[in-house]
Amino acid sequence: MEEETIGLDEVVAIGYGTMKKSDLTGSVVSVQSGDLEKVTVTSLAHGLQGRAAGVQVTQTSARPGGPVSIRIRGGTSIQASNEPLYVIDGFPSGDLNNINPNDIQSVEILKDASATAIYGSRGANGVVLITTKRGVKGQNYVRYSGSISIGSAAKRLELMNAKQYAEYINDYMLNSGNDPKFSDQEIAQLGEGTNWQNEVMRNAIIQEHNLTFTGGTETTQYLVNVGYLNQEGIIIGSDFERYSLRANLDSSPKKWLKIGSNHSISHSITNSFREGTGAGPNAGPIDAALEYPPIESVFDEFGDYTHIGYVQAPNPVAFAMLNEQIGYDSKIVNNIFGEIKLPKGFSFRTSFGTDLLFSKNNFFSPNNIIPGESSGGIANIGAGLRINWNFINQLNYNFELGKHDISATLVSDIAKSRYEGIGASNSQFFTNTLGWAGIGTGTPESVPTPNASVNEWVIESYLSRLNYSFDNKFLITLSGRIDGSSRFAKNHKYAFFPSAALAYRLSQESFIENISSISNLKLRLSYGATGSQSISTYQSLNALASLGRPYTFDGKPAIGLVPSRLANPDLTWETTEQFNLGVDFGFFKDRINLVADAYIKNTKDLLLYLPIPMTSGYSSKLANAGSMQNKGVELALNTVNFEGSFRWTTAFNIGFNRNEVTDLGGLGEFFAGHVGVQIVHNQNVYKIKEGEPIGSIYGYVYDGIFQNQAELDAIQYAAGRIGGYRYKDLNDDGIINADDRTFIGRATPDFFGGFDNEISYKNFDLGIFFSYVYGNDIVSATKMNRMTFMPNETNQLLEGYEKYWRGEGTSSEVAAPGPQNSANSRLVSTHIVEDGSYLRLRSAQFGYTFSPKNSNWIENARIYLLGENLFILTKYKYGYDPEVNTQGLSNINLGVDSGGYPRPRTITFGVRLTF
Amino acid sequence: MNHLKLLKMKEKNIYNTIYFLLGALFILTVSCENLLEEKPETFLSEANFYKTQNDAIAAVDGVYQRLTHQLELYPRELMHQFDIPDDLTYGRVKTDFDFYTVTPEDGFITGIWRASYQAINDCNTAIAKVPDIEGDKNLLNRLTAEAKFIRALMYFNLVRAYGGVPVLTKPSTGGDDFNVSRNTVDEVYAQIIKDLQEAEPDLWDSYSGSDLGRPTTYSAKALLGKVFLQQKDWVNAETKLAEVINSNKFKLLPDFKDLWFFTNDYHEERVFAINHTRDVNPSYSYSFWGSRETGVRNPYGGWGQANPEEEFVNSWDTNDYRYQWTIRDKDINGNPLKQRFLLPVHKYTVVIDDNYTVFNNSSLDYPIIRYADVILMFAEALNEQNRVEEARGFVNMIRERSRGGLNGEENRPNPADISSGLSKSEMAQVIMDERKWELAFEGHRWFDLVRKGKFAEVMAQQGKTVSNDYLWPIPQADLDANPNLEQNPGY
Repeated sequence: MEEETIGLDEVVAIGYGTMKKSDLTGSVVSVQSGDLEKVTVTSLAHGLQGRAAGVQVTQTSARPGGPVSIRIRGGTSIQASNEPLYVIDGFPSGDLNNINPNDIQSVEILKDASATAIYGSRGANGVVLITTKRGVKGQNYVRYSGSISIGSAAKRLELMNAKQYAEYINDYMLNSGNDPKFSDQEIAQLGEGTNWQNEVMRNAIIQEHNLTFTGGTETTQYLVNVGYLNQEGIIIGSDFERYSLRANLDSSPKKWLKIGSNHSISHSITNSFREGTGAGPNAGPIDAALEYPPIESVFDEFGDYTHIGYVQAPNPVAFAMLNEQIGYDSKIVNNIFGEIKLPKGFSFRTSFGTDLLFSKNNFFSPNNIIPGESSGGIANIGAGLRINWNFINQLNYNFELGKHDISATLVSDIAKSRYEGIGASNSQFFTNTLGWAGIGTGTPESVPTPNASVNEWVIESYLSRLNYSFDNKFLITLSGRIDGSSRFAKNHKYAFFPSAALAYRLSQESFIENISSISNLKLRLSYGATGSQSISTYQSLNALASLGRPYTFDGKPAIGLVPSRLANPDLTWETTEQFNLGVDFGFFKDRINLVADAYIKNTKDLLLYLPIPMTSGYSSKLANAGSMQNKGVELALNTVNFEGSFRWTTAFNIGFNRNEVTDLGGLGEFFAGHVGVQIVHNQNVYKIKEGEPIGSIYGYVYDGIFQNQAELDAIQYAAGRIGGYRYKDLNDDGIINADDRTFIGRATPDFFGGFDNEISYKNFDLGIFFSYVYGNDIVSATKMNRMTFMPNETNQLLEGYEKYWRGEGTSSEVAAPGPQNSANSRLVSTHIVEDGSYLRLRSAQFGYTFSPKNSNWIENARIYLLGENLFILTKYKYGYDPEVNTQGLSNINLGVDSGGYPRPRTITFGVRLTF
Repeated sequence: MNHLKLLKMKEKNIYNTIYFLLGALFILTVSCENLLEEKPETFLSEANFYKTQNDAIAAVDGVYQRLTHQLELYPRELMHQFDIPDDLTYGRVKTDFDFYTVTPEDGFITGIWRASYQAINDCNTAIAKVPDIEGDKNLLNRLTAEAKFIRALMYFNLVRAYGGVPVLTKPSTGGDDFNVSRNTVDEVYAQIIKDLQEAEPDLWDSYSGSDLGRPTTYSAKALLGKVFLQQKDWVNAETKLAEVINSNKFKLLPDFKDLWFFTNDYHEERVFAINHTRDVNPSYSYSFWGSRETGVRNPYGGWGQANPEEEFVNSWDTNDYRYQWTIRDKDINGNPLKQRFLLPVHKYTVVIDDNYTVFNNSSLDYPIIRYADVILMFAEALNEQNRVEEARGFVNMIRERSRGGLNGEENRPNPADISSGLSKSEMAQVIMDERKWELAFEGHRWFDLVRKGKFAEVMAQQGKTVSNDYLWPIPQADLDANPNLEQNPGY
């Protein structure tokens, strides 16, 4: 969308090469470093949000170092991964958290098949090409950039206070047939009590520093960047730290030879705790802060953390402070390349890259807090080493004759990855003092469970691409790629992925050239196939497993093996075919730029874990079954509203995507697996059905509360109680049961995008950037567990207290508290499906750039103030933020809100000095 | 000029060499399918398993592992399913199990079903594979028989809880049609009886060392007796139970309390039990039956998922020695516990060392059949055949032991012997009550009431409405996945 920052003659990365923007035939969006810097300092993915039409970026957890999900033109797959392929300086790489955003020069997002087919085997979900900064001839400088931010929770949920809680519990007790727990006197003495959200939240400090050295002569250029990031989370016990070093070198010792290398080392440390794991004993501090009774205080009279037995959730502060969960990632990426110019337009490029990742996780839970308390303390250590290598050889050919311009590329690409990991755990410690490092001191009663894991895969690819241009008017791109993947069954490993694209630059025709207002006009048409092999390794093989806990004879463990996976001898590629029609418009010397694209993506042979009846002894089976369609329209509009010393530019983008499951291989429909037991009580939430989109929420239609016996007698409902929920008898058979469920929501949005305004006047600049999502639904497990479902002694939302049923006619929204309603109040229904649309003021930045006149050593300086997540417009109230997806990257369990990490509101002060 | 030509020719040769090398490089990277072959390194696959005697042992031990590795079966969930619905047990946490309002979506119901069928598929696999392994036939036959015994136990649990369930006896493979239909109750029982009859001769009479706790030939006879009894096949029940009694391998322990010490798990009254070991495959029974009033990690304290119904506590003759070892109404200091609906079940909460401090982590083996059960079942089988006096003798054996009269040091007055002269129906009631006192909270009561046709009647006295042939719902997840599966009535 930031087309105005790169002119048509500029070069963009397209995969195994670069191309002039004017020569592109495919749909490629380029985001430049300037835009990334405007939003965020912590992760690249944040910087991409709202920047490119059709690219939906969702933070699945807002914790520091938390994962981010990116969907390019909707999800193409149901159960295989839908994340795009990330390619850093030509080498595929997995994780965005390990790259310092400050290192990035540009990001190209390849959306249509003409662009992605060159990455055939892994291109189906789109490709994100990341190019890091390099030294430039004659630009010698040292630059410091740094910032400090303060983050705080943008929102707190309103919960019952101590007094309200006591009243609620008394009603709960009465409804359970017990005596009230609190006397009137006791209640009168209670006030606000403890606000557990305040206890676990804090003002978080984020600081970031970068020092860059760069320079270059005619023959050699270098760039070295050292970076440091320290990000506290707004919940105690969570933070992220990253050290990074990058050195990029380029040299041309001979006219015909160019060599270079890229080196990066990063080390990150993540402190975290469990989140999105549900309520009760599974709760982490975020969920527990909503559950823990406000009548309790953080510490008891002895100064220890309060520990109570009448709710299952842990003391949230104790959980965050006592449990230790720390992860280290050390990543070393090295790649070298050489390019030889050969006569007659040929050139040869070879590159070899290695990517080493060492990761280690330490976990310790002492004997006085969940989960360690039931086992006298738990320690886990996991460590793994992953080595990826990638060897790419490519022969390029360029030929120009008159109006004909041909370039061709032939590539062989082999990539191999091997991971070896070890894990160990122990329990029953006589002391908590040593933490995880005392893992060896567990009592002999425990069975030590060391385990090893190995994961290896290979992709072998051969590809060719031909670009032909006639008179700079007609542009043709043809590509073909053969891929072999180790993950599929024998004899089903290879596939061929072709693509073709045509572009017509109408603005080069004289009849358009004469229209002075039109500066650029290009039509683009493309078709291509790409594949997905994003499943776990070894899935085609049958497997036996030793279950978690061995049986014992006479107290001695006996290791057994049982079948754990069905063989899949026919497992093969999932394939996506995509048509794209696009147009690029430039008016008034490109002061108005419009890029519009329409596409249809058909995915077949979906890699599906088909649910099979549990009577088989299995729950699912992986197979290639069914097909799915995504179709959509994307628009990006960039305008320069004012030019000159007062400059105002606007960028707007919007993407519409419609998804439909077109075939399920004879199955017709199936439930997409359970969301965890403690989140929505082990129910199916999403149903996948032919003719419906993925992320379709399936459940009951809420129909108020049974007010009296007559209403209860009017319908047969086994779990129905007076004061309890009623659901619509949709099939009119007089019984409320599972047959009355229907589609009640959709987790995928109607449209989404971003809106950016940049204003500069002399040395001042101002940027205001909005992002938005419209039309998606959220399944609020928070609402279910904290308001509609009140069968226990945990704290509840204030709204629940105000609205719960206290007798005939008193409420039609929240059931009476008590165990009698435990069965009818925890069903997935319209009662917990909420509108997730939002408009967010993603960032506002005010900056001042100047060249100090009196300084000999500062060439240029910039200071800025940045506010993020300052404002959000949304109807969603049963959670911290509508941008939520606590079930992570899954394409099935989209949009579940269960104890999602609250999104911070951040104010940053930053400075950039060039010496 | 010649010089230049030569140079050009040389250049050409160099380029030819370069192109040749490039071609070679491309070809080098072209490799065969071998590169892409997946080799499992950290797991076993069918292709490299079921070869040796040790593989056979591991395949059958895997079956047992399924019974205790998750909460779904014996560590906890089956106690929900079997005990909470009866009139002795108050389901404090899963009240929907106590009030019969459980829904087909319920996680416990789903989990029990899933784990039971996983265990059945494990058994089916072992039964199909183990006989083909070369080795000691005596051992291999026994291992196959063990799998048949466990398969019978699983189907016996399922048929009583869910009614006529699908009967599967072959290992599942990738190409199967999994949309099975339900079999009739009789068909399920026929499979159970077939398995137990086949297992009985191949199981061993006794075990030692690290085989202790495997089912014996008498475990199979006793379970077969129990199966016949539940079907009201009194004659066959008598025959099988008599074989157990006449073997003289078992005896009632002199002191009732000795049954409930995990340090004494392998006692002479044990006919078959599920093995549990703290920290390895623990039972949740201590915290499940422990009291919320005494508190978590305190003596007799626990999560208190279930506790004795107050009516049952109050109905008991407190002079019966079994009372204090079944119901604990005092805390560790001897002070009475106040809330009688939160009393711990003493059987499962015996304090030994510091075992109460470790939550959900009990070593006490869970009894499936103990000798007292065999004797009372035998008495019932006799009484139902109008041999009331014979039955009386066996009931009195149980009462005598409660008095400490069987070589016991104490000789308490209660419970007194049953006197002669009772009618058959009076004796039937006596046996029912004796089973209630003796076997409370051991997963028998609900089935006893159902067998006697008294479930609805007894529960009505507690103000709960339920039919005598109450069945749990088939999990919705399987109904969703399998159009051929039918739900039980009432859901």
